[in-house]
Amino acid sequence: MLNDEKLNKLKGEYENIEIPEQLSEAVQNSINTAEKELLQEKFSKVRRKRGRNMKK
Amino acid sequence: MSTLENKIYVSLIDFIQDNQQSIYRLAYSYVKNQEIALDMVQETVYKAIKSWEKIEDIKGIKPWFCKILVNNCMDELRKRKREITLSPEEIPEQSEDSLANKANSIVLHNALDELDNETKTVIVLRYFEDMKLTEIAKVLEENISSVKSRLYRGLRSLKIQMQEGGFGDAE
Repeated sequence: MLNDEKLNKLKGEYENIEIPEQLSEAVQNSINTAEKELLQEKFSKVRRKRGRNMKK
Repeated sequence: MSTLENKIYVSLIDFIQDNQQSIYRLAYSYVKNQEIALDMVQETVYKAIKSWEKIEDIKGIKPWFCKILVNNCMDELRKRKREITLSPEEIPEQSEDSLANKANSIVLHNALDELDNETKTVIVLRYFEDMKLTEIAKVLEENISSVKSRLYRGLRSLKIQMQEGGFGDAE
């Protein structure tokens, strides 16, 4: 079996993968887009429900 | 209670924000390209938030999120249908940057990339992301015995490849 030294070396290289500067911004943009869409979907559901109730 | 106040939702956002670097590394370990890895992270974060209601409990967030990420990366690799090989320039700098160490790095990276994607996923999640076998089983939608077999086979295969690649004695 592969020994700990080799596994640790592999892990070390994995942990050394360079993190791009724009990562935080990219993640935050995705969060904002998804949250905005979730809220819009929720509001349009409420509007549709209200519309149905008004017709009754 | 609104979506943004839901405990599971808040925990998902916290998980994403607290673990963005390891999420990126995991994506990069598959696609080996900074721009594509960033795309994978963005796509996964978007998909995860949009389908957050599928999360059953807070403890399950990490394997659930990793499952989406791994699937996205595998889809991307299938779509591209190209062999991704790591050039020496892409390998991160080591503290001891002797030629011998650099050569060993290439052997190590290539050895990991030679594994099939599922086996590589098991090795990366178990040893680099310190995930439990039960969590990895959820990511891959496999039972624990299959995950254990993959882990054993993967470690054996890595040992053989590293010996063939001249990475000293892999015992």
